[in-house]
Amino acid sequence: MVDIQDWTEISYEEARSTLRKWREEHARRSEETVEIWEHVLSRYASSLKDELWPVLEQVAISSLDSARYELAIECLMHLNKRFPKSTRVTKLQAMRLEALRDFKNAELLYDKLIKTDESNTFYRKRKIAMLIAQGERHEAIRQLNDYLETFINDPEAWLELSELYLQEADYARAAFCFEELLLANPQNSLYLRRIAEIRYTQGGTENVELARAYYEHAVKCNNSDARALYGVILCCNYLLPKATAQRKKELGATGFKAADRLIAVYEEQPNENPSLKFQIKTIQTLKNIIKNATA
Amino acid sequence: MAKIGTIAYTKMVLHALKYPQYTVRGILLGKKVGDDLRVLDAIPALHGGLLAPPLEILLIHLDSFCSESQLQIVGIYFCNERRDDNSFDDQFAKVAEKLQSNTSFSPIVLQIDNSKLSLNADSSCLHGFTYENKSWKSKSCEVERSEETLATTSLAIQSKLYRELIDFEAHLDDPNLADFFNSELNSKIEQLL
Repeated sequence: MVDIQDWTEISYEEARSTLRKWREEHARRSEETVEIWEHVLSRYASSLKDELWPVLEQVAISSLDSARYELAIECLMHLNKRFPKSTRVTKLQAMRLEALRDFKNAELLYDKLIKTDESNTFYRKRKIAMLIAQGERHEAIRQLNDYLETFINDPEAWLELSELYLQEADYARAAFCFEELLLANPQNSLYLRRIAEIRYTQGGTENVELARAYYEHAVKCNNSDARALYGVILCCNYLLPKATAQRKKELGATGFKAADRLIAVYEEQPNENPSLKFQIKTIQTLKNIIKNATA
Repeated sequence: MAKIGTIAYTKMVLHALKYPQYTVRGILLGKKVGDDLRVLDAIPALHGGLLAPPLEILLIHLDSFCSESQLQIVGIYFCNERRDDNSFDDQFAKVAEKLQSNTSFSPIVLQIDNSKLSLNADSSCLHGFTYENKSWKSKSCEVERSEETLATTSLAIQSKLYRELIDFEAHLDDPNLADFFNSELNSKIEQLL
């Protein structure tokens, strides 16, 4: 789906529902959120009624993310007036300190908040986020592992830990994070794809066989997943040279099927694509490579 | 001497701006002209983690693209996630090292310096590196038509053209974002010149 590029002219309803959608999805579209607020929604603040408060919270965070500090302060002032002594507002104040890189005071505030609610995961994760922001990757990894021992079912934390391991080029541990995620969500095609890519990157027949299995599983969950289809083709290509005759047949068939499905996915796209012929040509090239390797 | 063309320069900056919270990486296309290496286009590839599959698929696409457009892969570019992180991307640079074997010239690595990104930049944000004696050494690179290029980039940022940029990973996640060569964006940048 092609998104709107210019949010300044949309209607009140569109603005309201877009921001709500982004709130629900936890989408990080900070610059656009600020744009929608400033150009459209702020004029209808009274029409929003109770929805105004979550919107202000959303705009506050987006402003901090876009270095629009004055706008963030404005939102915080309104929120503070309406909800004095709220921990939720205090949390936003701590985030503001983070954005200004006043990590010491942000940490003090988060520690205070943790004392009021030991089971709150958000404050703890913000502290780790500050470590990441300061480039303290090893310490962040250590603390995130600690955190996960207590809060073992936190997908966001496992995802972040995996990212940190990838930055360390520690592919084995990055894959492990996804194994944990898949235990709780075995049909999540995003996780399946990601772990496939990590395994493929590690290389070696065993890992690439695993990658192929994960990619194929992802395709089963979503037949139009181009990235997974490409992945299947890559894996078949990799495994073919060293495969037995019987296995070659299987891999060839798998690769071909994925390539044909991929071509169909490209041809199904509604948007006009100037490079379509050219992209299909590339997939045909991949098919030929498979064909030659199976011969 | 490496010379960076306007379209390549602008696209690299737009890519970095589109994903401010991620490390961005991409491939450079161009050709050798005499003693100079002209970087004429930048293909935005990844945002986030460095994983082999999307890169390999992109390189396969680029193989066909290059033979048709008579451009070659001449190097890579990257921009680190954090503003004060000026470390060299050793992992990604390995990709450029492999290019060495396919070409007669030394590939180039361009690093976008986060602290130099600005709406009204008066100097290039790029650091150049070439591969000598099995390691990457700093090498100066020149931005072609420097004043106009920097002005064009500023205009592109102000017009929020980074919203229209499609990197290869975005294409893989949604093939409906079809043109990862960004031909329309290239034309728009040219018009700003």
